[in-house]
Amino acid sequence: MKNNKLKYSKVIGLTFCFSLLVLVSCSKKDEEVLPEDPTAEDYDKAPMLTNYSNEYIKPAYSAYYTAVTELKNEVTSFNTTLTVASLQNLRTKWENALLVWQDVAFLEFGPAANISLRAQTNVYPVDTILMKSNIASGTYSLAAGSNFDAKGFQAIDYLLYGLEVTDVNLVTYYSNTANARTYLQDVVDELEVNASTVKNEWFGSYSESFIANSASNAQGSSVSNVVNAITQHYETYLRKGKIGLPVGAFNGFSNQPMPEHVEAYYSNQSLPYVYRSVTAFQNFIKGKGYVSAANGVGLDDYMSFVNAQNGGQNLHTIIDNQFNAIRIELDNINDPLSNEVDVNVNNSGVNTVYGKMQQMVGYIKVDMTNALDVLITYQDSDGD
Amino acid sequence: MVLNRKTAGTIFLASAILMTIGCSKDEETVEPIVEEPTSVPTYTVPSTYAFLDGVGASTVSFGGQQQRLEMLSEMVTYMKTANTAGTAVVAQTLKDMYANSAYTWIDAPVLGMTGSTKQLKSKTASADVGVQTMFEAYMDDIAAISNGSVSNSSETYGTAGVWTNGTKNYLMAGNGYEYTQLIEKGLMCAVFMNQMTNNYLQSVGSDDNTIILTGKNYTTMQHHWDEAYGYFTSEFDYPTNGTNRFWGKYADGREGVLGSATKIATAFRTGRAAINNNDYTVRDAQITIIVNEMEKVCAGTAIHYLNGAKANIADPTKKNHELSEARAFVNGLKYGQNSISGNGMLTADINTALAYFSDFENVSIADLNNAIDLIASKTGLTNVKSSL
Repeated sequence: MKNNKLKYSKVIGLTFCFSLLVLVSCSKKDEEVLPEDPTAEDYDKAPMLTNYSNEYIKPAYSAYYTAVTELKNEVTSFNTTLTVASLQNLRTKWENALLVWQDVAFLEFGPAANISLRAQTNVYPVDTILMKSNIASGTYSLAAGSNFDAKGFQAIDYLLYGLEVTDVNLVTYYSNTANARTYLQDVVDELEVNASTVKNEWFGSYSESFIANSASNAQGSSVSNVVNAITQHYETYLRKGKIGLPVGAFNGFSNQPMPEHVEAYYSNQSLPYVYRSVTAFQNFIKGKGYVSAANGVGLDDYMSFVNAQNGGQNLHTIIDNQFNAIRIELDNINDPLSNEVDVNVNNSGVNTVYGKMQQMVGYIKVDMTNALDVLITYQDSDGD
Repeated sequence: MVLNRKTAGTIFLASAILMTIGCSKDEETVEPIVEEPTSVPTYTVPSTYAFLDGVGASTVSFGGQQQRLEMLSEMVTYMKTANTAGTAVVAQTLKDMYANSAYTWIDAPVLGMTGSTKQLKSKTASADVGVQTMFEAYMDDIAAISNGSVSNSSETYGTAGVWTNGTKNYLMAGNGYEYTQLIEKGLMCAVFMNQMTNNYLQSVGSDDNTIILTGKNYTTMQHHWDEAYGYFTSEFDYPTNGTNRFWGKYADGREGVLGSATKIATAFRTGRAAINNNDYTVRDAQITIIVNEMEKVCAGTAIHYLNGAKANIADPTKKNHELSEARAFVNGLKYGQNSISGNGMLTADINTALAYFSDFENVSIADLNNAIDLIASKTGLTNVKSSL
């Protein structure tokens, strides 16, 4: 190459670079003309939101309300007929209501967020000293923030399993302790009021505004609300709360297990709720109906529309497969989970479950949110 | 590819034109409304807070504000040392920092803070002695609970110390109040917001804008406008820089919902350009924007923390921290121009809102919702309150 040509090439090259720079920095409005994958903005979100509202969320809250009402009625009948048999019936209703709770627990936006339904309903570990003191005094306000770890499903877990060693003794305890009967009743009454409040709002005006709020995926939009809610619930309350904390994954140096951090600690049955929660997530992302189980329009279809990929594979397929992988690992561990996390029992097995759950975080929190152009807003960005 | 000199020249020219066209939209052209328009002046608003005189020298000066922001930064850093159990802070030291009285600053940006006449105390709530006393009482309180502090890892109310939930550690009183937040966010409102919206922006209309001050290259009006800006952010190129602290940080934090960071920064740049061109109609419109948006940022940030406290109601350490933030911002609304002028959330409503969550231990979701609803309804945030 001759020298003068080199010189021209340099000039041309530089000017082209400059032009490109200018084009890149100034031509955002022109991006639509490029033949690319459809963007998250192009998707008609209303049918998806309609499916979520009408086929999943509303029927699920109805089912939850029904389950809690049945629990409440069973408490009433237990309190009047104090027998081991009625205690067993009550435990069955409690277990069922806590299972159904898993189906709606991750919907913490809109009406549920307004009353902090999750914190009102299922905080653990519970404060047993506080509960005993509340029962002894008979003076307490369950609405007070200080009592949130003394109420909800996990308080009932303690009240039905943790107070006495044998069932006969427990029934005797309730026979002799009017304050305990009242406390049990107050806890379920509050659960029912909260379930009713949220369900009624969904069946009232909220559903319509939820579907209508589909113009964008900006903060405060329905898509943003849903994606943030399920991602946060998955990351914090399923992965961390149900498995990560008990197995010791958050004790970064010692990995010391924290068995008392399992859900439903006193009943010695934690895994059914983990399993149910995983399945509920998987179904929800697929847009499955709550009652019909028909595969409607869901986030998986939205991901498919924008051709979301990870390592050359469809993202929604990866996510679905990962849920299956979590379930397979869950089958390899046993209740009581509080015992299983012991290093001398099967801590490594629980850790394997945790590992599978951890992998999922990247798929939904990074890949899915990027693909759908949703900003994570639940993150605590407050450095102080 | 072989190209001759002419072709290369053409491409270069085309690129240059392309650049000019492509980027001209970054600067907003304001069409000002003028009473007797013989020739309507048009002027451009720069994309950063850079205003130059005829010889290219900056006419912007807000060194006093940069110093006060840095003073509060150093105070906060000092107070946070007490978030480690057993580390005490000294009340007199905090008061010396507050009044810039015989205190030797670190002064990392080399602003000349040590021995300077600038101070936070004299600018607190238009020098209201009662408010100054309130902040100094907080300083006494934080010193008292930091002295010999122990960890409150059981998060028990009634026990002052370093509350911890395992990940977050804050020095808090037995009732959960975190004085560091009450002081930092309180002074953000009582000094920075009050000086900006009530002092400078309300008086700028009567400032002279014809005489270049002796030894300076700006008029009084230009300078006062810049000083108001300096209380919003100490950086010229906000939001490229300046989102790390105080109003620049919290406006940016709510930007996705409120858009106030953009509105405020744009209004400051537009208003300064208007002043440079004697366009007082546009200037006054910017004052209204800034005053309203500052109230929204302050109220919106309070609601943000109240929402956080709702979500963390079973986590006493986080709840206390978030409610302390919220108290400071809600109370701080009093020092903003809208409250002072009777156009925004008034003191009585502010006190009502504060009363809903004065008891951190026993506050309920209903209490927090009452506070949120009241603040939102008084500051125009009802439609976005759940997104904040």
